[in-house]
Amino acid sequence: MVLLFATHGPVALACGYCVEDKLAATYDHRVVTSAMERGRAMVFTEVAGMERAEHGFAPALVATVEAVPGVNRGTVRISAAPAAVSFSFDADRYAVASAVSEINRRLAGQNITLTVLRIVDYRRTMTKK
Amino acid sequence: MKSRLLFLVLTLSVAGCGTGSDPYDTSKMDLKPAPARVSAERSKGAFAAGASLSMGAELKPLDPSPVKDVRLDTTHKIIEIAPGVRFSAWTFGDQVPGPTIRARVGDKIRFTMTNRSDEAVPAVQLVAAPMMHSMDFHAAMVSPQDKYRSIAPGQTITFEFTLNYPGIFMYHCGTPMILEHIASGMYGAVIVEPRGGYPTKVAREYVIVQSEFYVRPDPGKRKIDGAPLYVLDGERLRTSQPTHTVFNGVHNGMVKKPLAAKPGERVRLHVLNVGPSKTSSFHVVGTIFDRVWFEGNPDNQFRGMQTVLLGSSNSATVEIVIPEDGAYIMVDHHFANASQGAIGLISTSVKSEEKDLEHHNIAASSTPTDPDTVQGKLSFESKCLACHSVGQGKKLGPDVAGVTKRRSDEWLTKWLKSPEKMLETDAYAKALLKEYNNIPMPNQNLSDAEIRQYIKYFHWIDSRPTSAATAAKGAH
Repeated sequence: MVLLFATHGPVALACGYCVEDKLAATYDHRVVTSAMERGRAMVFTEVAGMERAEHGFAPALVATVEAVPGVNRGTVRISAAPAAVSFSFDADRYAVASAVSEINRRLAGQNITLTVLRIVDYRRTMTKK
Repeated sequence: MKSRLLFLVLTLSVAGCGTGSDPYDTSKMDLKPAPARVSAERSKGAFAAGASLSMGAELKPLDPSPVKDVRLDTTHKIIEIAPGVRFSAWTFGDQVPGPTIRARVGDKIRFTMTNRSDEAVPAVQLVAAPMMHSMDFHAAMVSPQDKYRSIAPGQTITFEFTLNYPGIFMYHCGTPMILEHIASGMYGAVIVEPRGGYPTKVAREYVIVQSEFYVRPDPGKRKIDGAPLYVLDGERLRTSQPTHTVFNGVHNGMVKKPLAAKPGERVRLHVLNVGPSKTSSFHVVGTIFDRVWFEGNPDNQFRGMQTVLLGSSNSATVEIVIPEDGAYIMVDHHFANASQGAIGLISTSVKSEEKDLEHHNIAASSTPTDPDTVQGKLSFESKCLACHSVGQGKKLGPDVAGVTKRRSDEWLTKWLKSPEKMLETDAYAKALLKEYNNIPMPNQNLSDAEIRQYIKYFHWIDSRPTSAATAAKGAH
């Protein structure tokens, strides 16, 4: 757990404005702890276009993200304000960038786009053990 | 005449410019604090540390050090905000409100905070999931994106800032949803004296932090030491309907533990309303505010005020002179707020807390645990003790001890719902009116749910062993 953010270095890919607030909006301690224990990566993203989404769109968004290979089921967390999505990810077998591109492709019809804010890779934690 | 006028204008201009330095000269303020540092270093020591901290209402003297090292770690813990109401709170420094920081203009605050929301508090069950937190100092002039960033459990943030303005400033967690973080207890005060100190001398100084709680019994029916756990009520929070409005974190807290003062003393109260959503109309019964420094800055001075109006995150320093022996009642004169617990005392006698002071005192030695009964007790203490006692005999109205043995629930329900109708038709009600000097019971406009809570509370009173012995005093 203590490696969260300590390992992020310069990987923040968004503008950086209130990044931590967007991370905090979807931060779920159980998901993060589980990712650390299983040597997964935590992917935090901001979302553009959520305000235009139809009411009740959240379950569909969760399902879309979960269906992309590499995203661990049951770990998707979303926030409407600030608009953000996070999930645990199997970075051993899949690339985060490819997965996010695939999510965005599947959400293109809704004009919703995810942009990675921060990736916290816990595989190093596991290696140390 | 013209030259005299010119001379006067010039004189006033020079006097206005003055030869002394402007205390608000922004060019001399420290506006370039060093960047914040975030690390994975976890503190395992005290949750709050620093010579400038005061942990309660009594304000410690100024620590002379020009650099104040302050640690306020975040924790999740259970606090008791009213008798029997144990709330799952989030804290700075492991208490609500967080410790008060006292400093002076020009001092530097070297602040450190570890997010320890994932630590179980000894002897207290951890109930809230760990989460990210942050610190927002209203006393600071810094980049929020750098200094006020949220940190995860196990992380530590350190940053510095210089105090440029005098005043009483709020600090709070700024992590979304901010409303929930503040309503869960993450706030406190920073008191910044003018560079040259205050212009008056006082015998005592206290800090009063007003805040609201929005709670409901835990839907999961979890218990703490056998008592029901209360959690944040999101619906009440969003609609600004607090269940408790309190001074220094506790319903009627400073009624049970009054602040001390002596006749003739000048007392300085630093009052901060943290909200998060209500306004305070702060007043002290029996005194007039000799001085009011709005926002705690002596340059914003009023004299001879009866109340001071404080919006959320507004503050004022007020000075009063205690005229004679007595208990002076601090109150939010929005009496809906006062009835929810925003009451405290400044007393010239330690024993006065045990006396029958107006309608505000009631022994807290025994409390119910059922949520409805707890609410009934709180409502009764807020609305009814002016006219009724519990086991202490008659006042303007009957003693309620033993009332469930004298009257049926059905009768009590009708009486509480519509006393004026009962006085027209019910013989017992008419007898009561006559016995109590024709002073009618006012209609309190209680809802059915509130009436049930009152009656549950009355049954709880009568189920206690002491009730039978005292019931006779005010019975009829």
